[in-house]
Order: sequence, then C-alpha cells, then structure tokens
Amino acid sequence: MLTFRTATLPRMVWRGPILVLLLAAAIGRPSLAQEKPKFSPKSSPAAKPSSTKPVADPALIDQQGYQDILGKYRGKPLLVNFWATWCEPCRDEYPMLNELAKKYAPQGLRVVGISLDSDGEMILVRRFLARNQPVFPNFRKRPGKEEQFINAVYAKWSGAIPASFFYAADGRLIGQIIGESTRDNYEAAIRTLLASGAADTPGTPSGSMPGHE
Amino acid sequence: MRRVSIVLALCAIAAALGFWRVASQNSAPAAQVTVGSKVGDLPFTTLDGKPASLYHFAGQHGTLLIFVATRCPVSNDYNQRMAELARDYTARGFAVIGVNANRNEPPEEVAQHAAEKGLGFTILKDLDDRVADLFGASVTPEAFLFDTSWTLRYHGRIDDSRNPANITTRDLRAALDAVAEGKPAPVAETKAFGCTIKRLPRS
Repeated sequence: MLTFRTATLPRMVWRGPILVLLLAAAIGRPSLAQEKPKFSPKSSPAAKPSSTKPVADPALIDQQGYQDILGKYRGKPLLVNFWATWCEPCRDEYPMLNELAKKYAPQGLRVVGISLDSDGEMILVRRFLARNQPVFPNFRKRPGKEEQFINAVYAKWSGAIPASFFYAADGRLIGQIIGESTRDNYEAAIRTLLASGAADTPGTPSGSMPGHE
Repeated sequence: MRRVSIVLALCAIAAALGFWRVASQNSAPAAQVTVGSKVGDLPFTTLDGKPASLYHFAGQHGTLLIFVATRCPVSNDYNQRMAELARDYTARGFAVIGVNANRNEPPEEVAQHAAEKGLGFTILKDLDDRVADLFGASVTPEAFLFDTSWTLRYHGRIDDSRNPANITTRDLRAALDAVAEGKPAPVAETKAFGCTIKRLPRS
C-alpha cells in the first residue's frame, strides 16, 4: 500500500526483484561506451531485447518548443527527463523510467524524454531508442543556446544530467531530481506529483495559457 | 480506500507546502563559493597519493581550476581545448589545474588518461568531494577562475559548444584575458550541459 514520506527524504526499501530487473535492463542497454572503456564495444547478444524495431527520430525542439510541450500536456501530471547517450547514469535510469511510465500511466502520469545529444550522436540515439522502445515521446534539444535553455527550464539547474522535472496538471513546476537517483526516489516523486494533481479541482487549471499546438 | 485518500490528502498537503527537490545522494550541494567571494586554502590529493593544497598553485595573475573527468564524453571533447588553454595561459602567468572529483575514476586512471590525451597540466584528486561541494561544482568540464586574491572571477563553461566547429563565444578565455589585466570577466557566470560529477554517496 502507499506509504508516504516527504519527497526530500524518500524511503529506502530493499527491492530485490526490481534490482534484478534493473540489472537485466542495464545489461541490455546499448554499449555506447566511451564511458566504459573496459567493456567490449560489441553488444551482448544474450541480453539483446527481441524487439529492436526502429523508433522515429526525436523531433528537434528549442526553448519555445519546450514551452509548447508543457502547454500540450497541461491538465496532466508530467515528468520531463533530460538524457543523452553520452550520459552513463541517464542510460542506466532510462529503462526504469520507461517502466515507471507504463506503471503510472493508468493514474494519469505523462512522461516526455528530451535528448541532449548532438547531431553527430544521432546514430547512437537511434540505437538507444530502438533498444529501449520507450512508451513515451522523445524530443531532442536543438544544439546551441544551452545556457538560455537551461535557465528557461529551471534557473537553479546547472545543466548536469540526468535531470528530471515534475510539472503538476496546472503547469507548475513542483519538483526536480537532478543527478543520478534511485527507483524509490522516482516513485516517491511521482506519487507526490500524482497527489498534487488530485488536489486540484479537475477542469480548472490555474494557468491561463491553453498552449495547445 | 479510505486509507488511500488519507495518504493522498497528506501528499497533497506536502505538495502544497511548496516546491520540493529530491536531492539525489550524488547531486551537487549549493555552492558556498560564488563569483566575487574568496576561497581559503583547500586540500587535494596528488595522483600519486600525496597531500597538496590549493594555495600552492598560485599563478602570477591567478589560478584556473577545471573539474574534469576521464570517462565523460563531454569533458573528453574538451581535452585538446583544455590542453591549449593550459599552454596559452600558463605562459601568461596563470596556474592551471584540473580537478577530478569522480568517485569512479581512480588516480591511476586519471594519470594515464592525462598522459594519453596530452593534457599537460597538473590534475589533482578531490577525494572526498570537499572542493566540489564547496564550489557547488556539478558537471565536467566546469571551470573556476580565481584572481591573485583568491576571489572567484569566473565560473562556468569553457566555451559554448562541445563541437569546436560551432563555438560562438569563448567565455573562459575572455575571462582569463580580463583577469590578466585586472578587469572583471565580461561574463562571470555561465552554464552548459555536462556529465554529472560522480560524487561519493552521502550517508
């Protein structure tokens, strides 16, 4: 059953089976492996997921595109995750986020991924998405104007990834997870996010911008 | 069901209390050293395990610290640029040091990487993340430029593009040029996307 603790002190519970799943997922991830020189650059065929059908290239977005996404999802609790193929902890967390997106979709959670890969990394991006088969849409930040983009998302953010931002149904940014984190942290944050949506009167978002594309 | 609603209500109250932040165990704490503030002497460890101190690396015009990594592709994209910076500005009276605060990159690996990439500047380990925490350093590469009074004059990126072909502003060089002349950096604080510094887990 749900037990609640404050989001700043997420509970640490041993979740053996989940860890096993995460490990399995981690083995299955692409070896993009500049960060892991000791591993063979060849993928492990045993752990390769059976479905590696291509996923459409993520659409490029700029700062305005980001605002458009937030507008489009207004009315739903939204988790935005920033990732890149060059970011090892991002790669580690991505399968877990995909599972959480599936798990909490019935409760209204929406998830959007935003890649910070450069144009030259698109081959890796395609491979990464094909292997992970995300159930949520992914975009890619158009390279350039990093600082403005970072500050527009959240002024106190340094630009370090992984980073996730949690938007309530009314569009308010209510929390963030910056740096690598645990499934427990994410679940606690998602529950808080979903509860924040429940607190609002349905149909009366406080924001005035309709913001649909 | 009733219990769920109570829990949800409690969550709602907690959420209503305001913006929350899940500080993951490895995220950067708030910086205690900000642009314009002075820093005291700080301990480092050399790559062969000896104690070292920040004040030992005092340049004629100031000291540049860059947080670096061996396994971060962003930091690695800057290897050549950092080597050039160190060569150019050591000659102009700055001390240039790299700081590795990543728990997963042991000193031997850092030394080998620096030799292979021809970085050409001293790299120190920040073994307990003390300096990274004090500075609020969170990504690699991330630069901190001090003048001779150990006042922070610039904090941020090296330039505005990982891809050298797309650089439009070289913020760190501009700051170094200014500080060399005793002037404030044109832009004293910048941000860039980068790999998180792999900090020690906090208890």
